[in-house]
Amino acid sequence: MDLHHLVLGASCGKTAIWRPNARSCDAMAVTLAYRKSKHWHEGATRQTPVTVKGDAMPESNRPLDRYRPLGLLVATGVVSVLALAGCAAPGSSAPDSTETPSDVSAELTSDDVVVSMLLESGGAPAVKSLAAEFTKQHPNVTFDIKEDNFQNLTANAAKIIASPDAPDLVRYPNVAEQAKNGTITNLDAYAAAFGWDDWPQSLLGQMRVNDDGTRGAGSLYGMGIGFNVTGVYYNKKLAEQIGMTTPPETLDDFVALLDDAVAAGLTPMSMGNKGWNASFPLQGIQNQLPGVDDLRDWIYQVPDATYETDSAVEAATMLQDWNNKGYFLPDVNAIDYPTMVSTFAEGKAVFILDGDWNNAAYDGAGGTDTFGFFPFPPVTADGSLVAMASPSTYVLPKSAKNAATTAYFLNWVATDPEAREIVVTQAGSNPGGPTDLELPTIDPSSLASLTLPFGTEVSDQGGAMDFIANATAGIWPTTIGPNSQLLLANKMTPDEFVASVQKQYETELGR
Amino acid sequence: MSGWLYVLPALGVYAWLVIQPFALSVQYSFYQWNGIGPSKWVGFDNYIEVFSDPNRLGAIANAFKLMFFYTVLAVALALLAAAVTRGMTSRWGRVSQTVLFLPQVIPLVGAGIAWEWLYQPQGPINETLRAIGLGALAKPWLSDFDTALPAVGFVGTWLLIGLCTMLLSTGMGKIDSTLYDAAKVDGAGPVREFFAVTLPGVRAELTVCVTVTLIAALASFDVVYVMTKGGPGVATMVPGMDIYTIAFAQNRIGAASAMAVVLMILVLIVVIPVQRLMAEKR
Repeated sequence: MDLHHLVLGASCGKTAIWRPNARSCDAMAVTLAYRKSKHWHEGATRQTPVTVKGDAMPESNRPLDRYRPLGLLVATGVVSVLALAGCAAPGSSAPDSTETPSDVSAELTSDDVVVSMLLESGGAPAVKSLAAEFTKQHPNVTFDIKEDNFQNLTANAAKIIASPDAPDLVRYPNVAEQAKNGTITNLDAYAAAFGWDDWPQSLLGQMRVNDDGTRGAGSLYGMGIGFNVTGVYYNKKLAEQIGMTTPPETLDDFVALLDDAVAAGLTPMSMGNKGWNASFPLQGIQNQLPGVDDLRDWIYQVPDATYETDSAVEAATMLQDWNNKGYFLPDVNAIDYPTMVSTFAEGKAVFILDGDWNNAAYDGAGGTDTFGFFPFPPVTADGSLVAMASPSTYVLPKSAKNAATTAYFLNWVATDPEAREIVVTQAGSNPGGPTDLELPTIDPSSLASLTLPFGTEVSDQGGAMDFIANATAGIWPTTIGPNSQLLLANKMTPDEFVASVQKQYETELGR
Repeated sequence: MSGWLYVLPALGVYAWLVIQPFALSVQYSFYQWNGIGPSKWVGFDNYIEVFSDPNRLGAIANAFKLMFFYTVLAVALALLAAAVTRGMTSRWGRVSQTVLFLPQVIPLVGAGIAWEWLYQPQGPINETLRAIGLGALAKPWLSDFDTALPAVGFVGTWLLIGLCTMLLSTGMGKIDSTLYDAAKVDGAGPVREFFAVTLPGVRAELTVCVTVTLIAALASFDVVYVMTKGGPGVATMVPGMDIYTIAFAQNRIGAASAMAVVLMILVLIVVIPVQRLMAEKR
């Protein structure tokens, strides 16, 4: 595998997004010029025998060192320098991110339009149903849908969004990053036209980006197709076994139940960390502790925000403690996410901290007859509800040709009764939209009948927190994930864990 | 001069597809750049990070540890396998070579998934250990900080034995059989025969094996990506996986390029002496 191709894959000066910036390039040429003068002659003469001199030695017996890798390296280096001299600094100049489309109306076009979308495989079936329903209601609009798994999508989406023929709508979680790059459409004009500014802002705020790149306020750069909410699912039979009659009202009550489960020889919480899911209970705990606004600021990349807070250390300490006390699955770092979900669905654990995207899995294993749901409990019984809840975000690349129709579709998804029904029944998530709209009627045997009202309550109260995993594009796979494995293995202290997360955060944001 | 004209088309393709991306890697390594937005010249900062960040250095150290599995173990076992199967006259020699070579034709990703399943806490390896009364040895191989890297490395051994066996037995097939006759006449046993005739006879093939497997160890990515993503913690992090994560998860193209350039230089530093040492003396 050629790593240089892996890293690069595109050539200098070829596409519209790489604009010249001669100043930096000159600096490069100067820095490397000495290599050119020093090695060019040597490299050239060392190369010569390889090209022209042949002999009678059989090919297979010819030692490889005749090819003189060192000479080749020097020659390659020289050519590289020459190539650099003709090549400007990579990347675009700073974008003007404040512009928003001017000709915006809340009416749907009557022209024939094909809206192209790039979806994440997991969420694709629901969005495809939405698209089909939309075409049924508005036959002049059809959809061209492509999909990829989440990991591939997030790895490639930035380049796809920046390309001149990008799809009209792309599932993409890191709105701030692309807003800073100036590659996605500012939706303020649509928000004004459709009245999105009156919707619950603890959700929409997650997709707002300020001029300084801070999330949480400013212009709107993305929209959700439904939003997900997290909480604690419990197995009714096992809960009864440990004497739980009503859901715990405080964190201490919850911990007491976890202890009871250990004492009863049950697995208290189906939690595995091979897929780095310890970030769920970690943040679940920290969300309840004082300083939750600091945590939100940190997720939103507010300048000088830090993860090195008392509440982060306390949460990491509790997480480590919970694992040491046997609250989680044994061999916790060997259990991946699908396994932890199926372990709970099969009735082998009392609790799981999970999101409503898995309602279908738990409905299939018995629904509300078998399982219940309660919010991750606050520290005091009268504490306000805070839960990880975030929209599955979609962005409109700047080069999207059908932005108006796509924006109309996004508004329709959140407001049309049929569409809201599809979001609830197929995506398992809350349809969002204006607070005065009725929730679709839900089968009482489905866990959605418990998670949906909770989601609405949390977003209305402003308690919806984005996931710490979304703080930056790379913080979860590079630091929170691997280092939480070290934390649970007691190979890292809570203080070291918290410091390492903050250090990587600063590295990635160039602070 | 006309010689250059003949070379020109190939050279052009080479320059376009190999040298240009490489030159761009070198260029990007001097910038702080997210791959799309504006870039900032940072001089050697990215290289300083490679040599000061414990995660970068740990990944490089792991690549060197993998050499034991990819090169030492694989080539030694392949030599043994080739020497043993060479002597087999029946079809079993052919059959066993085919079996050994089989991992080479399985896509790496498929092999990684299969091995991940084998290594699972309740997977076949642990179940077998429990069945034969060695349950105490059962462990989550890929998530134990001590066994994860050897477990990944062993998959590399399994993958590369076949290639090396094939190369080495081809080399052994070319050895003049009169040399073996002469050795026998001189009273050499199988072991002596191996060291006096076989080993010197496959010197060129051995060089290729060692070179290819060393590069495979240093540039490993696929198996790690599929099986552990570098975990637990960073216990199985290798430079290839690290570069991928920096480039595609963190969107730090400059830092990833610097690591890639360092990796390429490392490969050359390791491979060139091997070439010098093992090449036939003339």
